[in-house]
Amino acid sequence: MQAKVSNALNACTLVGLGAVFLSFYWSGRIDQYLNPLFRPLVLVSGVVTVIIGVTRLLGSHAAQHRCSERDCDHRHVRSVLWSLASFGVICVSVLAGSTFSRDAFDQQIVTNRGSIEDDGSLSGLHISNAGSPGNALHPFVSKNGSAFNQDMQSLPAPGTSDAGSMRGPANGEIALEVTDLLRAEEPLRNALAVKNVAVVGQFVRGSTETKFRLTRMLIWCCAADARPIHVTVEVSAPVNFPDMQWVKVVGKPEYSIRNGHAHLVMKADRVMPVKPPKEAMLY
Amino acid sequence: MNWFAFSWQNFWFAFLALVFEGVPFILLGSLISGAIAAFVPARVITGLLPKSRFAAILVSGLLGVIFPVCDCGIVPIVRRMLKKGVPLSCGVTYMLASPIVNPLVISSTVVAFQGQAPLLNAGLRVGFGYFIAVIIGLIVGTLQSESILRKGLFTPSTPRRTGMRIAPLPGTVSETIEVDFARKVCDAVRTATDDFLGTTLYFMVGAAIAATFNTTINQRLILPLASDSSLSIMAMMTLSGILTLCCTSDAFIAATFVTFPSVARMAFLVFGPMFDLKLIFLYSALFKKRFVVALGVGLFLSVGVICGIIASEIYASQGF
Repeated sequence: MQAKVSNALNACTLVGLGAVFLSFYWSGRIDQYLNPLFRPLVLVSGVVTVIIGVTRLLGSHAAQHRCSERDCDHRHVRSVLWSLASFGVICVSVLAGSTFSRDAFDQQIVTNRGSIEDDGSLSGLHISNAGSPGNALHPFVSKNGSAFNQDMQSLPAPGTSDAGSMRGPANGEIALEVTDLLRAEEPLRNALAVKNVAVVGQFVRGSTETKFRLTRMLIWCCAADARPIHVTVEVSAPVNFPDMQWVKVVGKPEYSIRNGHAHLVMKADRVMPVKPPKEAMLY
Repeated sequence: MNWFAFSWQNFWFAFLALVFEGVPFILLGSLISGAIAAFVPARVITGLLPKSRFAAILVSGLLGVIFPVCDCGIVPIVRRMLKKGVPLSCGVTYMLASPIVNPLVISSTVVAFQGQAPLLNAGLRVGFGYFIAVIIGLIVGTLQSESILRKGLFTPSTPRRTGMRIAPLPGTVSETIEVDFARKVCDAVRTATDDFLGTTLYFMVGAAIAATFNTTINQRLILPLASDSSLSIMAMMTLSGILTLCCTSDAFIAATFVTFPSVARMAFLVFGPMFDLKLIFLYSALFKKRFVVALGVGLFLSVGVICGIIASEIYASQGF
C-alpha cells in the first residue's frame, strides 16, 4: 500500500512538472526565459517526464521497484513521506512559479545587477537575435557584426537620391537594437550621427527628468544570467513613464570617447510607449 | 545603497529560469545513469580507467573532453559510476573537472573573451580547473568512502543478471534476449526516474536559494573591491557562487566585469562551475554535509591561492 501511494505521488510529480514545461513551451512563455538553443530541451523534457509519469501511474508493476544494482539506493524514493516532500518541493513550487511569475524582471534587477553602457564591456558578444523577425523594429542589420558595419557604411544619407534604396521602415528611421548602437565602430558612428535611429527598450528613470536609460536585458542561457544594458537618452522636454515600460525612442546617437571607451547619448526627438516585443530579451 | 532588496516578481522569474535551464540536464544525466545501471557492466566501467590510482585520477579529469556533462547533470552520473565500482577519487575528479574541461565550455570561453586574450583565458581556465580537480581527487583518495558518501552509497555493487533465468530451449534464444532487453530498458527507466526525482528535489531547493541571492544582492557593492587583487579574487568567487550560472554561459558574464583584474575573473570562471549555491544541494544528494562544506572551503582556498599566485604571474608575464 505504501509503495503504491508513493508511486502515485512520484508519478504525479513527474506529470505535473512535465505539464508545466509543456504549457510554457506551447504558450510561448518559455521565450522570455531561455535562449532559443535551450528551448527544445524544455519540450523534450516535458514530453519525457509526462510519458514516464503516466506509465508509472498506470503500470500495474510500476510500484514494484527493481533496481539492477545489488545495493539499491532508492529506498527513500519509495517512502511516502519522501514522495510527499518531493511532490511539494518539485511540483508545487513549479506550479506556484508558473502562476505568480510575470515572465519579466522589475526595475530592481537593474539596480542590483548594474547596467552596461560602454562598448568595452560588450567585447566578444555577438547578439544573435538582432535581426530576428521577433524584434519589435525588424532591424535590417545582419546577425553578424561585420556585415552589419558593411551594410551601414553603404547607406546613403536621408534626403539624397539614393535614400529610397534604404531597407527599413518607409519613414526613414533606421531600426536598431541597443546593442547595435553600443557596438558600433568608428566609421559607422559618424554615419549614424546624421540619421534618425529608432530603438526599442524599457524605460528606467535617470538622474533628471530629461534623461532616462533605455534598457534591454541581455541573456546567454537563461533569464537568471540576464545583464541589463542601456543607452542614455536625453529629451528636450521631461518624459514620465512607469519604470520598465516599453518605449520606442527616435533620435540621433551622439558618441564621445571617455577613458578609451565610446560613450553614447541618444538625443531623442520622440519617445512613445509601445507593446513589448515578442523577444523581450537579447541573446 | 541597499545591499539586499527582495522582489517576488524577480524571484519567481529567476527561479523558473533556473528550473527550465537545469532540469533538462538533470533528466539527461539521470537517463544516462539509468542506462549505465542497466546496460553497462561494472567491469567495463572500471576497465576504462588505468590500474594505477594516480593515472586513473589524471584520466578522470579529462573524461569531460569525450563525455561532456554540465554541472547540473553530473551528479546522477557520478553516483551511478560510484555504484559501478569507479573509485571515489576518480568520481570526484570527473565531477569537478567535467563542467570546465569540456569542449562546449572551452569554446564558449574563447568566444566570450574575444578581444581579451581568449586563448590565454580559455587555456588557463581549463588548466587550473583540471589541476584543482586532480588535487581534490588525490586528497579524496586518501579518505575513507564511508566518511564522505551518504549512507547506502559507499558499497559498490556487482552487476546482477537480469532477465529470464530459465535455460533456453533450442530455437528460443532470441525470445529470451528480447525479454531480457525489455526488462533492462524498464529497469533503466525506473532507475533513471528515481535518480531524477532524488536529484531534482535537491536542485529545486538550491535553485530557490540561488534565485533569491541572484536577484536580491546588489552586485555593485563589490565594485570597490576591484582595485585590490586579493579582495577582488574573493569577491568574484563569492559572486560566482551566488549567481549560480550555467558553466556554458558564465564566461560571458565574467567578460563583462572589465573593472576587475584578470585573475579575479579567472577565479570566477574556475570556482563557479565547481561550487555554487545550487551545487551545494546537488552534492548533498551524494555526499555527507560535512564533506560538502569541506569541499566548498577547500575549493575556495585552492582556487583563490592558485589564481592569486600562479595566474597573476602568468597574466603579468603576458602584459595583463
